[in-house]
Amino acid sequence: MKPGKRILGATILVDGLAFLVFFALAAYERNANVIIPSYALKWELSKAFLDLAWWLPALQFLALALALGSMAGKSESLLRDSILPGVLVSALLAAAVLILAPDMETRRYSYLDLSGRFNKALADTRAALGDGRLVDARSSYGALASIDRLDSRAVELETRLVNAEIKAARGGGPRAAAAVAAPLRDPKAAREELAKAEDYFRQRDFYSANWHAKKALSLEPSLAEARVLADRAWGEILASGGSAADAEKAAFFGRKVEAFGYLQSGDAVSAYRLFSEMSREKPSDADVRRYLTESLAALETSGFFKDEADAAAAARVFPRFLILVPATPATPVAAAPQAGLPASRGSAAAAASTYLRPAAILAAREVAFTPESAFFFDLEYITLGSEGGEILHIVAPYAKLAAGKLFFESVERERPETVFMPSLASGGAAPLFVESRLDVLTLYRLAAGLRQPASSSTLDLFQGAVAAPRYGLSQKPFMAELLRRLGLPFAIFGAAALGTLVGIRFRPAGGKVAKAAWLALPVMAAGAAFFYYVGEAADRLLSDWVLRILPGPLSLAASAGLRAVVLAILVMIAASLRRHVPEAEGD
Amino acid sequence: MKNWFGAAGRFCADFLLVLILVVAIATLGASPAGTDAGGLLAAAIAAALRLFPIAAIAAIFLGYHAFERRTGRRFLSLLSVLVLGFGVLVGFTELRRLDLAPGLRYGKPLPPYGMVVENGTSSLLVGHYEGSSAVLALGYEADAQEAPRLFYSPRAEYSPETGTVRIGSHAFKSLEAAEPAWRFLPSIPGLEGRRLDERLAGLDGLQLPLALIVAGGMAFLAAGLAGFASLPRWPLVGFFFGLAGVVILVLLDAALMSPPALLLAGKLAAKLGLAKVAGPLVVACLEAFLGLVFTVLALVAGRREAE
Repeated sequence: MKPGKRILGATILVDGLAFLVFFALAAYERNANVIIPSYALKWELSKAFLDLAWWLPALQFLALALALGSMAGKSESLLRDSILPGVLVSALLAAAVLILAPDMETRRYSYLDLSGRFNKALADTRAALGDGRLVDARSSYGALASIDRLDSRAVELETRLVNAEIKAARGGGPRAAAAVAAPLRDPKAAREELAKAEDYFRQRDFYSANWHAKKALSLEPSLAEARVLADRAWGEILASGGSAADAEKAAFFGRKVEAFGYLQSGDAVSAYRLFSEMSREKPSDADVRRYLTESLAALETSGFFKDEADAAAAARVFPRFLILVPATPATPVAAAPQAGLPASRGSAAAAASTYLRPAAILAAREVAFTPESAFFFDLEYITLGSEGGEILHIVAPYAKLAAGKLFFESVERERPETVFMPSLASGGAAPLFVESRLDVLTLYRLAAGLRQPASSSTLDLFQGAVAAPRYGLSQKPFMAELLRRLGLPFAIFGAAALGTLVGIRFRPAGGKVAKAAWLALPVMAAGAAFFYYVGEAADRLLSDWVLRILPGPLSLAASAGLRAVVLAILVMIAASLRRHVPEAEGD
Repeated sequence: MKNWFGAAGRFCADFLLVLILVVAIATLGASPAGTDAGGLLAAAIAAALRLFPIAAIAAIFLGYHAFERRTGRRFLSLLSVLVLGFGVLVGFTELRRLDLAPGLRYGKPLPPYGMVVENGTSSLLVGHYEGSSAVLALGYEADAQEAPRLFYSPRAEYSPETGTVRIGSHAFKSLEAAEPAWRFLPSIPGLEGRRLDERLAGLDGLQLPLALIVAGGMAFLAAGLAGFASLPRWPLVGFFFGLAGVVILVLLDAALMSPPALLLAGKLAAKLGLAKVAGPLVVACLEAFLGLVFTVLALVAGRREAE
């Protein structure tokens, strides 16, 4: 067999066996109380892949040593024939790992995170059901079902929840789905509604008259005039040939009027909610279509639905986010004199302060992203004056960044009476939104690079590292991950080179390997693993020290140079190993 | 004879090379930011006196091959690495007693500025420091129950002595929390905290003859395993056996010298009527016995090959 085929075969065999071992280990390691069954296999597969990627250099060393160490032939010709296939296989493996590993890391984290959320929602639902809090139970169940509705525990809980809701409805108790609070009594508003109803009645607009009269009645149930007017208007509708369909038409019209009223009063959130519902019922209605678009436009200029933030957080969330909002991107201001600092430190401080004239400070307990928006949880936002003094300190439970604006007001889609308003830390009303220069993609790169660098793409990491100082963030996590990734191709190529040379040097006499010798494979794998473990620790420390000396992107070049030198030294050492087999025997 | 000296030179070179490598890794890994050259040197000396057995074991394994190749005699090779390994182990054991390592004095690191410094769940960002002032200071306490969690001051009070920045009534640390000291040897499952350096620290109080016996036991075991590892007819297997042998030896030695094992050895000695024999001596004898078994196996296999 030619060295190329043998190298390929050994690589597939060794990596395949290793994957099976890692998969078995992942299955053993998986805690059924942590990872939910529907994600179990996916989590195990992603974990096994990531383990394989981490140990790949050791496996490549072993594969090439085995492939070439069990071949007969002249050393020189073996070496010559194995260089190209060895390089190609190593390049393919390195490329595959660099491309696939960030995605696998994202998946692995996501399965773990979603399972954690599922388990929490499960516990919350059970607790709420146990306490008879059906509204809370339904809310927690919603979170649970959005992750895995078919999980046996979710199915069982849904049955219990539905039964409890039916029982509560029979007993007159509040059903979770219909738990929207009744409007408060407001005699004054009722009178206004009644006046409108009378006005519409005079204009012979009986639908509007009926709807406004009913509205007045809902605001003041003791308003007998409203009840009479509603009945009269309904009688007129029936007298003109009205039917059950007319009743539906009237109700629909009434809702249109109500939604339009919301829109006119600036309550875009409620208007949008009603028009959306009507749009689902009658998508062809011209008024609904028109005002749905308008209400959406209005909503985007003043606030957002909280469930948008929840949906983004359900996918992935990054904790503890603190950044400076740059004043003027790409136009550094002159540095302030650095009195009392050593020269080198002063110049570094000057360089740092070149960017540190922020327009604002943003901090959030958590941040989540969609392609167009960033959502912040427990946000605090401080706007700064030109002299660095604090102007506003805004606190908001939820905030959204989209299209150059930071929105602080949010509302529950299903319970529009629940509005989350911003406030000032010093007390008082805060603006509902501010203009912001922040860019969603840049923030995503920063958050992902800081908290989960292994899941970021290489390009995102590099761009995040470049942007980080302007936002008052350390480049270290970005650069550390970039250096680790840069090290992977070196490690794989180095291991392949060493494996080739060790294999060729330590071939058996006569070039024949006894079958029993293959039984030593586990020990050989353990030896290779140990060898790599020490090498990887050394490489990590080298990267760490390179970062200490050169914290910026220059460290990539320095690290690449150092690794190239180490690789060359290792190859020279391996090449200098004396051959164990006399040329006459083995060749 | 010339070949023997050549192999002995190779043994010494291997020992120094591995020692430099492990000391460099251990020193660089455990040194915090701001460590100066003096601090690094002190840490390197301390690491060398902690980790020399690893270098000695590696040199025995690597040196055995050199001796066998150059002299062609298995018994002589085993004897040579045993003597040289024992010499190195004894020499460094004595060096430990001389208290050569100066006290570790790491320089006080300067607080970073211009970037967020995280310390547990609180974060601090300072534009730059001017004496006892932190210019553009903002602190964030992510886990605080209620807002405000974010605190800002254009110029806050900085205490270089305590390394804290005070923004209003809230104090923030200016340095990142020190990571747990990095250790060259990882924790061994079932032997938490029983690392080679701690094993050596336990032997420091022994009298010289006993320390020599302990070093001899280890050298014997290493030499025996090195000879045994070279038995496979496929040299590649021997190469990997050698790598695995170093790991096995380090783990085995740490396990045998752990307090429970020493206690057990002491009880065993007492049952055999040797109550006055110290636990380490029993373990050293056990290591030497195992080494002898491996050596005999290596020599027997060698004779069979010669036939």
